[in-house]
Amino acid sequence: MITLSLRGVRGGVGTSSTLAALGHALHELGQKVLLVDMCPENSLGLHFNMDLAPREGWARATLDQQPWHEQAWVVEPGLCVLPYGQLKPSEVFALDALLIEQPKLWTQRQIALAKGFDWILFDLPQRLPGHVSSPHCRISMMVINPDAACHVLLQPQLAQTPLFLVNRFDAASQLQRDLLLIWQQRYAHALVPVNLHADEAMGEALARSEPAGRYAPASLIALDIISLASWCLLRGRRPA
Amino acid sequence: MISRWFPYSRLRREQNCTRFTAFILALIQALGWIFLRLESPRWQALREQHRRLYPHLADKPSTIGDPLRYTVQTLWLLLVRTPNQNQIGRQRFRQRTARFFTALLMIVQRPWNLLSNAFAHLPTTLSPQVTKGSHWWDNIQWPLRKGLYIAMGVLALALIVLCITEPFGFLAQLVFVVLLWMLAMLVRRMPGRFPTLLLIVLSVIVSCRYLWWRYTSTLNWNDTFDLICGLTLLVAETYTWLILLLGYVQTSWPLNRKPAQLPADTSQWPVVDLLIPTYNEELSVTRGTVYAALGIDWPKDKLRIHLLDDGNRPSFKTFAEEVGINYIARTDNRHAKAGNLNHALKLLDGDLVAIFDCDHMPARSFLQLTVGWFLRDPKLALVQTPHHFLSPDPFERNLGTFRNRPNEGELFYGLIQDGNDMWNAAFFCGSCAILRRTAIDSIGGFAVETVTEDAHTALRLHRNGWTSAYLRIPQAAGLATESLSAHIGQRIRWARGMVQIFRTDNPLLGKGLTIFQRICYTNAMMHFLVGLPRLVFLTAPLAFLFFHAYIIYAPAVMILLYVLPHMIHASLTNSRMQGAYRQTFWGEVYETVLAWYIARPTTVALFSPSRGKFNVTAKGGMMEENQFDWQTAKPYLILSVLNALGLGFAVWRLFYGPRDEIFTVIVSVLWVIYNLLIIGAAVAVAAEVRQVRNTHRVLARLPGAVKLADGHSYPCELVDYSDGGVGLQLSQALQLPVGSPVSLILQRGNREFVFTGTLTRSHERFIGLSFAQLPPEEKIAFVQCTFGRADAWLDHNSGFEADKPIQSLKEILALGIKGYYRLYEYLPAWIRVLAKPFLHIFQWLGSFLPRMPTSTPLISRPVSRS
Repeated sequence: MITLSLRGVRGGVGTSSTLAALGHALHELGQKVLLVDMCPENSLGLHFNMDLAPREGWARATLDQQPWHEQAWVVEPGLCVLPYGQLKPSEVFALDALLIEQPKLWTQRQIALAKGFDWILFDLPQRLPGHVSSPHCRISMMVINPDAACHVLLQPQLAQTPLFLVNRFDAASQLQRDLLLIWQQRYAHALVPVNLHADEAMGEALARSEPAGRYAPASLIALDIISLASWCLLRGRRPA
Repeated sequence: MISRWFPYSRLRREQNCTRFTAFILALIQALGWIFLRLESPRWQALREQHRRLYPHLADKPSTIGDPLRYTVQTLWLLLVRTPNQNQIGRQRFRQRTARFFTALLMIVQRPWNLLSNAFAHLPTTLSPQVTKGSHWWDNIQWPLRKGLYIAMGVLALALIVLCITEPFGFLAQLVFVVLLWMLAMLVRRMPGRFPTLLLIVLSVIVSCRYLWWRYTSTLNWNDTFDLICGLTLLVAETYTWLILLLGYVQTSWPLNRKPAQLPADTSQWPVVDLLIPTYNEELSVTRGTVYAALGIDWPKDKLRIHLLDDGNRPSFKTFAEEVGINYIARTDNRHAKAGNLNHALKLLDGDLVAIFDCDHMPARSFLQLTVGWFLRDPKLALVQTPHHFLSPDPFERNLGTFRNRPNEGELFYGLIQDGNDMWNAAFFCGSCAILRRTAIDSIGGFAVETVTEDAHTALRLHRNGWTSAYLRIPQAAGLATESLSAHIGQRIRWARGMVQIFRTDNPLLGKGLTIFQRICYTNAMMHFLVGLPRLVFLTAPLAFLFFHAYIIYAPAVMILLYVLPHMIHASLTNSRMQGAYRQTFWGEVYETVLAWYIARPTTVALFSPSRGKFNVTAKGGMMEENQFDWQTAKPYLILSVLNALGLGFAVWRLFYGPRDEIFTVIVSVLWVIYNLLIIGAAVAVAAEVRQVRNTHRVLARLPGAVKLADGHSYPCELVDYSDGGVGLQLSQALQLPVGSPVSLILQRGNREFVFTGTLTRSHERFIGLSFAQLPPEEKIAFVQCTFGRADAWLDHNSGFEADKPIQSLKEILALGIKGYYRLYEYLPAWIRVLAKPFLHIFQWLGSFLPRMPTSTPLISRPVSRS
């Protein structure tokens, strides 16, 4: 079992959409995949035609001392989504404190899940240090967009994040080409070698409540995601 | 009822027969009904198979000749066994006989296969013993080893001399050549270079033996005319023999040099001046080269690009300023290209000078691959890379061999230069090369004395102790000559220039060269003297057929026993050495096309080397429609008429000549027919196929993506490109109107570029884009993503078929026949009008010939009833 997490360097870089598409692509490649929503926004299920913000979820269950694993949804055989559940803002902070208190909580859960899944993907929130640090992942990627804001924001992240994934790259923009060139020069070791292109299909996929690879399998973004999934498979096979 | 027995009116009405024909045919049918029981089931069954048994008569209007045709076909059907699916027994019988013959063949073939397989595996099975043996050999004291070497050399030489000079009778010669041939056939399958050397030795022995025999016992000293003809042929044969031997030395051990690594610190990389000389070429051709040169991977402050315009054209000056390169022009055009380069050198001071003709687009990796050797070897003056052509040359275009057969230049750039490199004799070819500045300065600039300044410059460099290198990696691509006449014009210039050098600065004489350098240069120059000898071969058998001159004064069988092994061994050896670069017998076609045209200039240059001027090769044009180049083809037409006349004389000699000469006549006829077909192939080249595209499409398979105006992107494959557009293959059809804007995303290394074009065609999953209005910087990027890719030309030989000498011979002969057919198609109307009656007679006579019934009956039967 391999664990992977995605986290945006800031909001709105397309983290959840990418995670949903990646989960779907890995499943297409014959893997058993579980997607875990770690964000209090509780919207990952939307990419799989589930209701917006379901009441039940692992966070709700953890706070209520209920069995957390009963909250997962089977989208297709071998592709499951575990929602976050509805929490009040104060409850979110309480859960975060709990996760900091029990750092092994998700590690134990991952061990329990190892039999059932090949991959567990975590959609991590911006802040909430307990949520961010709780799952210990083999592959941790930070999603960035090729713009000046991300360029500034990623500087302090360099020390902690091993990998950066460029999303919404538009080669027609001189600025974006230049930024990518700078990053390839400076952070060659930390940059995922697959760039995800800007593609209208990605936005339309969410509007249709589908992952991109299912909504538009012939699109460029679907091909990019398949490349990313293949890269992840190879990377995951490498000894840790 | 009457119409069935006597179908007179039906024939008149439906078949449009004349009264007489209709009457006769109807009468025959009526007689048939009266005397043969045509209504019986057996006759009915036969009538049902009419279409199958009489295929040529089924749909033909009835004519008076038909009864004869029916008779001939019926006799044929009765006498010849026809394929018939109903009779399974017969099929079985045939299968059994076929199996029997295969078994019979296997008795011979099996041991042969075992033997040849054993030979093929010999190197691997023997290698431990060989290693041990060579170890033992190395341990022997040097004086003893030297003695043994000399002894073995003397012994081998004595045996070779014996093999060459010993006169044999019919039987002894037959046994000798069969043994040598079998040895060659066995050795041929062994991998490695040593067996190649062995094949060379066999070929040299057989060829030397042939020539020895020719000199000692085939000249008729009693008849002056015979002697003159015989000696002419013998001189021509001696020339080809010499070229064969020199060629073996030159290409026996190709070096296959690899690029040398550059230091990691770019401050140690030398400063390069890249020169693009131009004279009268169009700006559109030059633009691509400049864009590609701007994309070469090299530190920006160490690469200076100069456009050397000998035409002094303002448009070129403006263009150079636009893209930011240096523009150099001069007031006079003295010494053409060499003068142009020398003038530019006075203004420049870089360490290295790279030279690209204005139609050769360099790949981005050119400098990184070539410069390493200059740093490694301080005496290195020159690194040459192949000239690769992205458009078909006239041979490829007119014969349809583009991308599936090696072209004419392939042999030189694939093998000969690599062979030269082994002997430090690779020479400069005028473009796609890089030279050391100090080396050029030390010989006083580029040589201006001859029209091929490139080879002469290289010769001078070698004489002065500089070395050269050849890197067989295509790092540039250009346009081939657009028409046969232009192609021939270019070759005439090369031929004249090389012969000029041979006369004025003979590589065999003078100091500073090694023996092998002398051989390589001599072969390169002598090679262009092929014109006269080739013409001699094309006309030699006519001396006997026309004038009864004994050009080879020996029995016909003996001639075959000597000349066939000579040709077969040369073909086998060359097929092994050059097969990947030139297929067997194609050289004959190339030489035949050029022979007439280079014969005169080379002979003139040989006697008065100072004559002749530089002519610029025209490239990259269009040919509006199919046409036949009568002007160029005239000599071949005369030669083919002469040879055809020779055939007529042969028929006359067969019937009225002396009995004992029949075999000689037959051998001569075979020679004449071979000549006719080779000339036919040359004629086929003169039938110019039209070429409508102004820009040449290069086939490719590159990943890319398209981005539509609505923001959707789709992956695609770039299947072809030119400097004005691309063809793309998508994974699904897009419904887009022609003229809509589409952006193409291409990768170069790990960078991406977007080019916005307009959709020009869309057919299912295929779309074409045109880039008419790209800004200059995007044009540079586009050339870098396509023509300038480091790997753009590496797979140019992936479509070549493997060389099979027999197959190749068949192709060339078929090409010869096609050549005459093409000639007929282009003949002036009045000749075709004159020829038409004869053709009609042939066709009419042919209509009486019986046909083989089609094997599958048209009446379909159910395949299986169960």
